[in-house]
Order: sequence, then C-alpha cells, then structure tokens
Amino acid sequence: MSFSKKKKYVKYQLSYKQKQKLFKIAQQNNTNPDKIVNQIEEFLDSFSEYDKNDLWEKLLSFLHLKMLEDKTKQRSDDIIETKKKINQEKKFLIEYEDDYLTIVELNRALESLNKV
Amino acid sequence: MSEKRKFNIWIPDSTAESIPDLVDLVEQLLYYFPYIFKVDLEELKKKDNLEKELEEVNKEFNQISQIYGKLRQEYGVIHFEANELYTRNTLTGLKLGMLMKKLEKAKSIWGPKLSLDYDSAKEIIKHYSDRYLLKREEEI
Repeated sequence: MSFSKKKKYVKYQLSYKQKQKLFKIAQQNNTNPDKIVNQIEEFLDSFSEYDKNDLWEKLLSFLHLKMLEDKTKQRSDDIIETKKKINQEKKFLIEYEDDYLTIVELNRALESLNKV
Repeated sequence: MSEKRKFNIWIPDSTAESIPDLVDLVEQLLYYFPYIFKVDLEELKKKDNLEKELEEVNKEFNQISQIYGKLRQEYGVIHFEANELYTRNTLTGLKLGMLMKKLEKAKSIWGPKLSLDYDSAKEIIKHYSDRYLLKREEEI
C-alpha cells in the first residue's frame, strides 16, 4: 500500500472464484496478479474523492460502454478479415473447379484408351 | 501458481461505505479490468445520458454481430465446398496416376499401335499430382 496516509481503507479479501479470475486476467494480459490488484486499487483510489451517489453506477455503465465499443470495433475488424477469407476461398473454388474439369477430361481420355 | 495465497484489495473507506455490495463491485472491476484504463473522469462527468448511449452502442453491436454471423456462415459453406473439390481432385489425380501406369505397360506391349502423346499426358498428370499431393503435404 502506497496510498495516502490520511485515507482509511477497508480490506477486501478475494474469494476463491475471484482469485481464479484474477489469475486468468493476469495470464491474458501478460502480467502478474499483484500488478492487477495494484492497478485496481489505484483505480478505486483515484475515484474515491469524487463520491457521489450515482458515481459507481455511472462508472460501471461507462466501463460497459467502453467494452461494447471495443467489441464492436473488434467485430468490424473480424468482418473485414472474414470477407478477405471468403474472397480467397472463392478464388480457390474457381481454380479447383477448372482443375477438376481438366482432370476429368484427361481421365476420360485415358480410360477410353485403356480399353483399347 | 500459488493456490493458497490470499489476495487483498484495499478499498477506500468512503467508497466502501457508499457501495452496498462490495463483492459485486470487485467482480465487475475484474470483469472490466482492461477498460479501467480508459476511464477519464472529465469524460465521465460529461456523460449525462449513458443509458441511451449504451442502448445505441448495444444495438450497433448486435447488428454488426449479425452481419458477422452471416459472413462466417458463408465462409463455412464456401470453405467446405472448396475443400471437397480439393479432395475430389486429389483422388482423381491419384486415379490418373494409376491409369498412366497401366498405359505405360500397354505401351510396352502395343507400342506404336497406341497413338497417345505420352509425354504431354505425363506432363499434365505430373502437374496435377504435384499441385494436389504436394499441397496436401504442405497443409499437414
């Protein structure tokens, strides 16, 4: 704890499930659990002075909004990527179809010769 | 990973008092963790109709997800078709190879009586077997 000495703090112990979640986040973000705890503490600390009735409710809505915006952006990127893949696959399909016709024709020619 | 280790979060007194459910708060902060860095108090203060904004963004997200879903489906179908054709070509290519062997044998027996252009036939077969069989190895 390196926070303001004037302030008082309440100790909150993470539940087993929350701890699991913490480890998972650390892994996903390539960091360690202690750092994440520190970052959350700093976050809580930076907003503690602005206590208003609806601040936290608003804050959580805001976080949700940011997440949705992020996901929407990610989806748009995914769409562009998928479109690219579809076009590539279409190209393959046309090539394979061309090949198929040639191979079938050759097959027929060879088979008829085989009967001679 | 230390299973036994305890993790504590120190929550400012004033915050703890104003929040009825601390378990839920911590849960939410963990859930939204990557986004806490995007919070700017000044920006937050200006937001007075968050609910409406959320509703709009949510709508946009749902629409875009739907488009994405359809595209994934389209991709799935076309990928399946291309894959099937590719397998069929590989099998037909193999069959061609076997036929060619038979013809080689026939040539040694019948020789000049067969008027097949062996070299170009062989070339074509080699082209396709290389194309499909080598590609398959690459994919594996």
